[in-house]
Amino acid sequence: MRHLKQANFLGLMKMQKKNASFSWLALLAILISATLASNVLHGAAQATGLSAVSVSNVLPPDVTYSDAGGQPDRLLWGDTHLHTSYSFDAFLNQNHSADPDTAYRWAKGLPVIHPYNRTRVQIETPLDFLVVADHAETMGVIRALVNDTAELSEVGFFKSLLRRIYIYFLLDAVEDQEGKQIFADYAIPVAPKNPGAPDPVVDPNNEMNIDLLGDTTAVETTAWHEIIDAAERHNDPGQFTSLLGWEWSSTPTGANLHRVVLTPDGADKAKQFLPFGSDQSQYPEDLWQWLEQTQAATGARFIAIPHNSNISKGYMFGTTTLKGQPITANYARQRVQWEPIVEVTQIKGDSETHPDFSPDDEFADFEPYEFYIQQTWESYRPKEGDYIRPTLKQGLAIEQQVGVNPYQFGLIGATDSHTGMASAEEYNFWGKMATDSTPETKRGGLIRDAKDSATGWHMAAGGLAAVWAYDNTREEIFAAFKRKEVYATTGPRISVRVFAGWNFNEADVVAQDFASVGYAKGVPMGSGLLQSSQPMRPLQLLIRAVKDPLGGNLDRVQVVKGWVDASGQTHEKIFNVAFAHEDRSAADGEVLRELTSTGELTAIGSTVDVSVPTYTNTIGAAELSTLWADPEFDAEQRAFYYVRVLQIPTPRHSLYDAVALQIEAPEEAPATIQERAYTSPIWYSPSSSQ
Amino acid sequence: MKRFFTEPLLQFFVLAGFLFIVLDLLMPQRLAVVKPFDIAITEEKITEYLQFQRKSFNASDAATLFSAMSASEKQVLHTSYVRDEVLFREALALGLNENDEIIRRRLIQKMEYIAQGFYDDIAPIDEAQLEQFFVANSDLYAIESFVTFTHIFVSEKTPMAQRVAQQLLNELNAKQVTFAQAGQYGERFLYSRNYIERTPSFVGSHFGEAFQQGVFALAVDGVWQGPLSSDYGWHLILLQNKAAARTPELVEVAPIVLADMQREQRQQIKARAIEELVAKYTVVTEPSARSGLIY
Repeated sequence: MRHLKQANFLGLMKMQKKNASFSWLALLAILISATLASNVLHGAAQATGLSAVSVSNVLPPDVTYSDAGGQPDRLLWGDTHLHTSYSFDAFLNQNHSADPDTAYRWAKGLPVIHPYNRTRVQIETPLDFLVVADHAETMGVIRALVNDTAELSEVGFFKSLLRRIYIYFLLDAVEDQEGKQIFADYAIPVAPKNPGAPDPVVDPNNEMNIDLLGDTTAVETTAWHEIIDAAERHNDPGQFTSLLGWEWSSTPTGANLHRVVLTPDGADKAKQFLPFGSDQSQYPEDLWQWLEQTQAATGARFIAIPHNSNISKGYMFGTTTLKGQPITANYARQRVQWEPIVEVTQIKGDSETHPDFSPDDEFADFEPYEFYIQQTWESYRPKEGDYIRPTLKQGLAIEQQVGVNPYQFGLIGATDSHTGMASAEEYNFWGKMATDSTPETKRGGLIRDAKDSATGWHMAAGGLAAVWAYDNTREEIFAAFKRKEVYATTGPRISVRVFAGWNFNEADVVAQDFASVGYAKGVPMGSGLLQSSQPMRPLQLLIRAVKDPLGGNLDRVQVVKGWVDASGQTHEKIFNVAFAHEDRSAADGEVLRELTSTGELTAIGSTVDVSVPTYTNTIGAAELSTLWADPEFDAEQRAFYYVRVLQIPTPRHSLYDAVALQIEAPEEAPATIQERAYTSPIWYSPSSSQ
Repeated sequence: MKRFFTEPLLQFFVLAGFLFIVLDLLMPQRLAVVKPFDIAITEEKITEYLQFQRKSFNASDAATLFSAMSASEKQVLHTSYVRDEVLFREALALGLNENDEIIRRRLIQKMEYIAQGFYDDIAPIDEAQLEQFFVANSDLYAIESFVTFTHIFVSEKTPMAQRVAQQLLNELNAKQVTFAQAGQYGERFLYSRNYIERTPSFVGSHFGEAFQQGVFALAVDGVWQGPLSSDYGWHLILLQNKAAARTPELVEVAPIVLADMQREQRQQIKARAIEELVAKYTVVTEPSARSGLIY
């Protein structure tokens, strides 16, 4: 059952307007629907067969610094989530030519040809690592069908006839550049019959895959091996790292539960398996079980990275499991073992928090994306389980109850670009899909051709993963992911370090060897910190943030704190802990910015000239460093702390394109944005809880 | 009688009969198509069909498999072949292949794919060819100039700070402070302390353009130099190494050159194959009826 979802074959035929002579096909239609019905039943039976899940008791091995020399001083930048023409949706949206080789050439800074607009394009600052993560489902199949390299399996006469007709329409649509319509009408799910029900997988509207292409394993194997071979060719330890991976694209009734799976291991292990897809199971528990079994069988190690929780309808980080069962300690352990990292920001929006859940956060409404991946329109309803900050709080509450935090994850950004180009630079953004890569083609709906559909203007040009590593190798990057010493930015290369401890002093802020002091006296981002032996001391954070050498200055550094009280209630608060002091945007020269008595700070102002567009670094600071002690620290309360760094306002990609078109900045998005970095949290635990 | 033999109609029939016999002898299968409702089945055709069904193209394997089939299995294969053939011929009879843009595009794609098939004919590239390609495209592999230095930073941009930096410079050179000891002096710079083999654009992005030009103009002489001003303050520099932009030796970049040459060869082979086909045709540009102009 590894096939393109094909919900309505009759509907597909409506697209064929030119060839009236195909009316004889209508006769087949009734028979076809009968076949589809039997396949749906078949699929449902398979799904229930997967319901038994064994839970692992294995805890992830503790990663420490003591056994390695020095400290992780190399700041590496990469994208863990890039699609190429091997992904069915990328291909149907006009990426026919950007293959994994193109993706690696782009990432390494070499010029490549854009698959849609044929421009010669090049990244401004090359990446240090890349994961080509194509969809496991029908991996490489559409591409192979169109290129006539597909080895299709033997099916019965009737099915082979259906298959031929299906392929005929598919090729027709691709030729007519209507592949997008196929994607929109048939390849994505329909809305649930029972919205908000505990388990979207069992919803009657959750269509199973239709067995129309027969067994495509042979084509997918070829594709996977080509992806592996490209990665092996481009991996250059010390200089550039390629990690093998794919995307498990579970979207029951439009609830996005997608995970990127990646492994630090090479071809010898990866060629022993085929990527696990959501056509095998839509439950993450089954993915984890497969990872465990495959790790045992082949020795390949894995992590899974959830993303786009913002459009998961609350199911990504639920208060129960996806099947509606209570979260147990075993489930929580299994989850944190396989999912130590979450993608918090990417082209399809930012998932840090939503104004509904963080009403006091003036920066909460950043790059919202309110479009579910489904055929039928459903208005966006934010849920706490869609966003990172409410989820980190929920994790503390669950830990208080069952003893293990299922949501103790680090944060990264990634692009999720489908162009083969990991482009996260606002002035050098080459589209979510290949088709929205030019100013003129940004208006067309990307999911549906409708006014309420996502367009290229809605997309956020961003998402990168920053990794503090010992070296630029597969092993070291994977180790940094496991210990969560990684963070997210919305595109700029903002350097951020944070250490938590009890004994820092003011001299440490300006220490030449900032990192050595941090590791010696505290723990880095992604770690846990236990109660001090001197319980009267407040928790301290030693923070240093430096601007992107080619980007905007910094506005401010904030600490986001979440905690749970004795009654199980969760809370959050944001502290402005360091900021650029001068505000030179005022007409009469410099004005000193100061915190109000309630800790608020005036806006930094803006230097953006929207007519060019351009900005200057005459406001903001190049570096912001501080030692902060939590003024409300309560040693008895579980808490997490993460750092958010804000840039001064800069032009959004949509403003560059609006100026190119000589139109007003479109209403879909603001003209300027304050790009940002989110560090992985540091968790504090009272010693009584141990 | 003589008149009978000179009758054109008779001559026509005799000639036609003769041609028929000759054609039947020379190309029997050509005439078979004239019988549109006959489907001739031979073991060759069936085993060829079997290969397509199995997606396994080995004639002897297919023949072995076929001979091992039971009578009922052979019958299934037989029926399936007949059905496919009938549907194909009916489609042709209905003219479904004509004026069909899909089939046209499909055939074009197949030709392009066949042209790509000549990739297999790529001769292995020897060292001399690689060298030749490398020389012809050496600008693609140029290595930028770079510097290796450490620096000591004074964070103010004022003249006072410049004097402080100048005094510190004298101290550093008097004490012969080494590369590794640099961290004991000055203040923390927001980016790195040591810059190892960094290009002008990289140095420029961290310090500003003026500093970049200044540091690339310094000589490698083993002493502390400066102070140079940057966007952030004053810097004392110990320049360890400096390299001008250069074209690398082939051995340094051979894998990249080889990959590029193979990519170019594939493109050339495909283009050449298509050019050869185009050469067989004469393109006539007809004046447009509407405007009377070409195009």
